[in-house]
Amino acid sequence: MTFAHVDRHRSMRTKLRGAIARGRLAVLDVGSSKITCLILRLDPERMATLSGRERFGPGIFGALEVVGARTVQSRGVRRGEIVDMNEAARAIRQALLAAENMAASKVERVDQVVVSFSGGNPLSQVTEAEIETATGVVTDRDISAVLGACPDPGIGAERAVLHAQPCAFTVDFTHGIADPRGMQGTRLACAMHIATVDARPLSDLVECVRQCDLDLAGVVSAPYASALSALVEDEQRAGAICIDMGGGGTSLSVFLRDQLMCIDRIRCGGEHVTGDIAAGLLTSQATAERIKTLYGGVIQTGADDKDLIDAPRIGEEDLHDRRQISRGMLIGVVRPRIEETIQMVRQRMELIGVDAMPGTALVLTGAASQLPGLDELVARILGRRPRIGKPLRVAGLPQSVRGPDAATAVGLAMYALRPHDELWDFEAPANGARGRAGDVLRWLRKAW
Amino acid sequence: MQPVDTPKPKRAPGPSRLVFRVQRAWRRTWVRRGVLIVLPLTCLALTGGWLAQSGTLRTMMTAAQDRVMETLADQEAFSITAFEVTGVTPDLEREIMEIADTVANADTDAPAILKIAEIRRRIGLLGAISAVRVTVGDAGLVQIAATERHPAALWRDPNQTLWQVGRDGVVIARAMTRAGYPDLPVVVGAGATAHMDEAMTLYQALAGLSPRLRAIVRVGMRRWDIVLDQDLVLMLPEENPIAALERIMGWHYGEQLLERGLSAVDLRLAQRPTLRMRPDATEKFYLNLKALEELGEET
Repeated sequence: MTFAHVDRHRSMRTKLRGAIARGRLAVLDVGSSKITCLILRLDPERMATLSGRERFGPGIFGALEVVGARTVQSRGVRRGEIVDMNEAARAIRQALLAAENMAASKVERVDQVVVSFSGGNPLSQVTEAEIETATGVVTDRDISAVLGACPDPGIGAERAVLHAQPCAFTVDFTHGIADPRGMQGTRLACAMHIATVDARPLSDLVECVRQCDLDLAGVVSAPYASALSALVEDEQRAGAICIDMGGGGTSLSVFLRDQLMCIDRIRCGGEHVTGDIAAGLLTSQATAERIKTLYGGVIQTGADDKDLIDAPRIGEEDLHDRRQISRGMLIGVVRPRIEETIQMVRQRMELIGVDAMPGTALVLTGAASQLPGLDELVARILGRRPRIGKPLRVAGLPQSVRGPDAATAVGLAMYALRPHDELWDFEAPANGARGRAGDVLRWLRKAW
Repeated sequence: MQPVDTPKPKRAPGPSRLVFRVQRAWRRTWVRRGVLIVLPLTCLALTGGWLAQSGTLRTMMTAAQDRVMETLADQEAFSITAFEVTGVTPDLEREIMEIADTVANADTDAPAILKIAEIRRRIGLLGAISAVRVTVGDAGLVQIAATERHPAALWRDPNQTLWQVGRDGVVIARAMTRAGYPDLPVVVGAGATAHMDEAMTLYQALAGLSPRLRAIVRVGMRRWDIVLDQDLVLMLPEENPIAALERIMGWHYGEQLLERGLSAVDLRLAQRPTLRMRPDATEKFYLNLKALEELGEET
């Protein structure tokens, strides 16, 4: 299978490798409510010494250091998609400049950036192919061939591929092989997970980054990135569902055997809760956001009826006798929306088929997961107790980006350092001896 | 949805594209180095080169100097009309007046303040003057307050000429006769004036013997001999001659050493003092010895 976007992904990989060799990289989490920029200092020599599984684990800790971090309010972004190019570019520039100012003494200026993308109706598809091995032993060329043989699962013209990862190989009816190279076998089959998004919002984001004079070194699906930092490697191996509750939407990613299996997204997030508070309590959006952040919750207790909090109506903010409501009332507004969100997550999980998967961990992350009592509510609805996932295993994180809301940004940093196994990281399938002769001829013609 | 003709808010948060680009360019080390170091240095070098090449600076400096000179020359207060000399003997006063007149009436257009400086310099060169203060009083009256230098010794130079010398070793004037200055000691030899204070200390250490002193001689430009009457020479070492002289004085006051017909007391080596006797004194000594033997006394 060849995609129109494979070449573009290949060039982004080249830039990423260049950035890692230079030892500096920026990551940019463009969300609906905030934009986070991290400046990373990498140690290429130390990364070269890591091999195999170490690169998933704590060995990565010393090779990567966050030297600059900044979170700014997002503007011109709605539901993960850009709706005002200039405003969004301005916000990105603001975040980047501030983070670079913080990192000024540690690294020179960064030009390559890895960005996250959370909008565009992400969709996971699986495509499978089977071939006969050339020599009876699986070689790199066989793997390239089987990846090339995977048929188009019906992506659609207006869709673009974000990730295409071979998630399981089968050699002679033995399933679940992670790395079949060197194995004896005549038949090699491969299942590939393809994550696609709408092409237009993605190209908007790419254009926006270009307007900031930055080299795009990779676009990563936001739920994938947050899972990379919020899940520990045991969870990634044994199976885990990561629920990233962001501002504009809640996204879902499923991990099994170190591989991303599925991503999904629900258009229901923290901003909707704010909207509910503003509409239900007749306050301004800013006030609603404030009281949600300070006093929000989902589990009501007896004390909550006694706690009175300021909730001025619109136009009442500067007066002395503001309206006051009980915290119980606030919880009464917040809870239905959260319940609805979790119910929608539950439906999606049933749809994907992971709701009954035994032994899977459930990890909540994202800014909205900081709502007190949320884990209790999730445990009641989904039937298993979640963990609140904070970004792990990265040195130099300032306090402001240690919470669950920075999981995506830190995950982008992890993504940049992980060994890459996407479709475009394998060599293009060669067409046998004749094809190689053709290559030589083509090269001769080009060189002379 | 906002209407197309809505004016944009004046200050949106976040940097504009230009500001962003400038700040990002500033992040580059070579841009910073270029703007902060290379650019100023180049400007400086270019400016310096242009000034040196065009000669503008030199013209400007010459013009400025001329202006200052003119201003000074025009000053009424600095004109010289008369001189008044205080603090010296009439002979010296005449000499000073002569110098002042020569300088003041010199045929140059130098301003008065420079002439006064020249007068001060020339008077200072006179050996007989140890300090001079020249001030300009009212109506161009130049007051010269000089301090005379008094002779502390006479110096006979290698050409046998006699000079008056101040305590600091400066030659004041020629001395016509030795008899004209009976109370001054005579210092002899090349380089003696350079160590005048040492010579004067030696002279003071002689104290009661000073009537017998004929000269303090600088030998080989490095050490002192003290010559007393009857050609008696006290040869002092290079190092610490005062102590050596005091040692001799001690012997003299104890045992009348210097009255026993010696021709030289050699203390150049402190651990080996040597006495040299005159021949007639030796003869007298033996005669005395013989007379004592005849008397049968123990020696």
